[in-house]
Amino acid sequence: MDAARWSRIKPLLDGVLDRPTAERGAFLAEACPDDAALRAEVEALASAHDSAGTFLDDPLLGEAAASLANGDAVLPKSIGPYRVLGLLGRGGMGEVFLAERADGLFERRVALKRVRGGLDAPSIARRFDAERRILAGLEHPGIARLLDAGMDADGRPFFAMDYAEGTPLTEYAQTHALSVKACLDLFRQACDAVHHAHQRLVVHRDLKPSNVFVTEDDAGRPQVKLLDFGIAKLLDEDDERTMLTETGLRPMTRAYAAPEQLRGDDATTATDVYALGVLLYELLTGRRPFEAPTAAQLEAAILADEPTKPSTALRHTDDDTLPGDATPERLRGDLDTIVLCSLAKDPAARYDSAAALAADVQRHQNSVPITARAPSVGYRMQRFVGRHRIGVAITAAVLVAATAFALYHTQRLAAERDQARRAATRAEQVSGFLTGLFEGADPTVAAGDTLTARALLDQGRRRMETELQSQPLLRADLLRVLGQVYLNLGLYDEAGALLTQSDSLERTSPAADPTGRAQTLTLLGTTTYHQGNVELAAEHFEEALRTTEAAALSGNVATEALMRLGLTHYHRGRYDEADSLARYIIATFRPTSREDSIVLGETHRMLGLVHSATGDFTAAAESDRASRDFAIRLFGSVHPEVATATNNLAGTLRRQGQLEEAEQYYREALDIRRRVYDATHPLVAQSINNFGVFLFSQGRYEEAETTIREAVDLNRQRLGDDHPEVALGLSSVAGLTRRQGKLDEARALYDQALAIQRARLGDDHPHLGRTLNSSAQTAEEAGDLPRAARQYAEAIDIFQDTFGPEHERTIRAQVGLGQTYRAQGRRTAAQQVLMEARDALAADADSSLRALVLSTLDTVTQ
Amino acid sequence: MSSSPDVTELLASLSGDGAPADEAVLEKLLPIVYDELRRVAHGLRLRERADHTLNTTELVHEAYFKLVDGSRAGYDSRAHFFGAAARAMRQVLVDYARARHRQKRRGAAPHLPLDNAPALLSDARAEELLALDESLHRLEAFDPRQSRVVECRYFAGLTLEETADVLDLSPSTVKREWRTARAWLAHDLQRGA
Repeated sequence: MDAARWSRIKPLLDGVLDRPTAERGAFLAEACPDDAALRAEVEALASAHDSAGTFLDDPLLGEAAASLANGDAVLPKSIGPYRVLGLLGRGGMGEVFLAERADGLFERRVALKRVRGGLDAPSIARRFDAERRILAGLEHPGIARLLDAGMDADGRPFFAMDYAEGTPLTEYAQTHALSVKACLDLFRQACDAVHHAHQRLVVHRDLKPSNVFVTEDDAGRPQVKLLDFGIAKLLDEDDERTMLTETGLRPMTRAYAAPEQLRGDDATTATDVYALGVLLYELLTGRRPFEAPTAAQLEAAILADEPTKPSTALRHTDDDTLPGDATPERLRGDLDTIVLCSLAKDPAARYDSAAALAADVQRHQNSVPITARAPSVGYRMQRFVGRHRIGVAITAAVLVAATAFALYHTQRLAAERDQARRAATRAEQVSGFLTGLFEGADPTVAAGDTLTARALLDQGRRRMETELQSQPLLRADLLRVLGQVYLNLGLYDEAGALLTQSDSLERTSPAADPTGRAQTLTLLGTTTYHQGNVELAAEHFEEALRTTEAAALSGNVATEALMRLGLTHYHRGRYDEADSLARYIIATFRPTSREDSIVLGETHRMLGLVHSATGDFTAAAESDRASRDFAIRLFGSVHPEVATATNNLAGTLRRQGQLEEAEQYYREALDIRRRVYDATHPLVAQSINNFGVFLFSQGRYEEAETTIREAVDLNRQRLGDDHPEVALGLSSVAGLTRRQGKLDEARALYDQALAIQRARLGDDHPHLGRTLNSSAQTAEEAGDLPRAARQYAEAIDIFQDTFGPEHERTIRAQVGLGQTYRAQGRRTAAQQVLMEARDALAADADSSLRALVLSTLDTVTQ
Repeated sequence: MSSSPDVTELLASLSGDGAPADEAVLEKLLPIVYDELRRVAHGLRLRERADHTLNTTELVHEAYFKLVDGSRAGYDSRAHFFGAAARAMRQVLVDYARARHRQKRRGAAPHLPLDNAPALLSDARAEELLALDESLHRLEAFDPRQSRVVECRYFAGLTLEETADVLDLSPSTVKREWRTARAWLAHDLQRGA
């Protein structure tokens, strides 16, 4: 080939490749009618192009870079007490070496699996002793025993197992050209081994062909050996942090993962049954039940799609490595049913045990009717409804948001990737520019000493007013970063001004990068939210979601907007919607980066708030602890995020009545906040207030009043006189003055709080309801019965709408109203409201609550 | 800032049009870039990256920010750097594959690492790479620009747009060059096989 000829070929080849196959001949004939050789050459190139598949599609550096990152590819001399003899394999989790004891303690060779770094070594070490004894007790010809486990010099865990000289089952079936019958025999061996472990309460969790080996005994008889039994659990335990934040290390292989594993639920014996189903599918058809080009699509398919029947899958492959007698006819019926039953999405719909699966395979081999049933139309319908339950349960607004979010699972455009890369470049330029100037200014980066940082920040803000006028997008980026720092410092007005500027620059620029724009909107919404304007905040979050949706963006930017929208639902008393959103995110969002984990931790926090607001304190404490663990793991123990999570946990524990633990966490949260924020920061005020409320609940009224008044004053200074936070504080102070018998003072304070809440939260907010209820009690006590009746009635309306008629708050307010009516001599009205309360009482209502309603009703009817 | 002035200056002295003077500069640049890529890759691992396969662009970006003094480097420097990184990766990987090939022929056991060579690529990949490199040399002889496109796309993992920036072409040109280059290489390799 010479340059001149190539320059003739290139445009022709381009023209050919632009056209569908059918039109290519005509195009070439017209373009170079009298040069058959040239035409042939172009056609050959076009056909090479068409048959090239994924040739050069994946950059080579990706693979090489991964190896560079594991630069310790040189064989280690020893690991723990073992001398390393060779490398057996290398995978996502780490490497497997052939090794023997260096101290001659025993002679046999072992397979030594060393896990990659990054695991929490002490916690693993603690688990080892207990687990290892259980695992060492697994004695079965089909299980490679765990012989030893420990840490190497660098703290990486290793496991020594029986060394099984063999090949993976799928490969063995191919190389030995096994018949369907022989495959099924070996498969049953695998089932038996799995069942043996299950009976000893050990779940494998990571069954896949590379863990299912076939060895041959001296007579050449094949014996299945399962590797790595129990190791996945050792690494995973029920340690949510490991599982959620270190996806790459998560001991699970996506293609073989069961739906419940993808959802983050606990692996059970049914999970292993599912994996056995995948294995059987692959043995019989040469394919996996779900295949997709990207991990996200694969997950979506595993979670939602029904697998193609093995007999149908077989029809679409011309793989000559399959069992020779594997034909669609051979698989249709029993084997289809057995495989699909193992692969049911619902663990309860699968075989009860690996033994039951093996027994059905045996029945099939013996030509006896099998026990599994093919999925009926009804079953499929049921599955469909189950799958869409979230959609049915939540309102349209949430559904729209969730759909935008779900795009992540259904499509991943190349454009998105390119966009993200460009965004990353600019983000780095921006942060590079800023780092030097602002290091230490952001309290989430450096603890304490925000004064000098503040000066630096203000200087940067002034510079922004004049600089970079000719580069609106870079300017928008910088404004956003600055705005975020101000937001983190709790300087909401400054943050709002900067973010609004950034937003308007991006809004008017067609080239604005959607990621940045969504981030700006989310930050702006967060600022607005902290300023107390929840409705407007929700609008910003919804716009952020629309932006991510339009650009098919995924990941933490979209998820954060969704989570924050959930928080506005929570603050507007729309607990069902907030709850659905949080659960949706937790069920579907798989973090792959630190930012992802941060958002997920915040989602747990929000779910804790929702549980707490709806009175489920056990669930709330669980979510609170999860979010606190996330925060400590991500940020260390002295950090604003840890303080917030700790504060929430304290509140939940207080409501659960665990007062000592609650007080300890309240103090811890306040202590952290005083260390990382300046003295008047709203969150310092919030912590002081919460601690005051705690003292209140313990009857330490005077201490409590001083404390809460301090918080109210801080909030007034920082947030303004009519901020909802101020109203909550006033309401608490009112309660305290009431307890001390100062009823007039209490009444005045309640009126102030009510005015703010009506103006800022609307007439149907639960906070307003609570203030009304407390105010009514005070009025009842003071003998102002008309005011008490009016306020109870309004509180009851709000409680019925937000908590439901059977909720304790509603019932107690009704009792209050009944008593007030009785005191007014309005016997019939009193009876009516109390009977309503009695009828609403849930069957499992607290007995003292039931007694209260009934005894009050008695006093009225007598 | 831990940037090396050498690299910033070297980049500034590149003309970017493939002139012979550039070759000399590249020769100095490549080992530095390679070492840095390697360091960055290590660093990413130490920071407990969850990804199995590192994001290539991230890797190169990070190396760039470490090596180049952003306040002095022009926009072109970034493009040149990416170009250099692409070439560095090709050279390093091909050298590696060749060494591996030689040692394998001398009869080392399969699946065992060879001497002290880090296992950058699987054996199969290494063989493919040597064949590809030969084809790429042939392509370079009559269309050097296409060969650069392949380096950027395949060896450095750049997107079409980034490749366009590096080579100062329009993205649509890069797209066409990439497609026809890929066709030619596929054809050449099929013929060779």
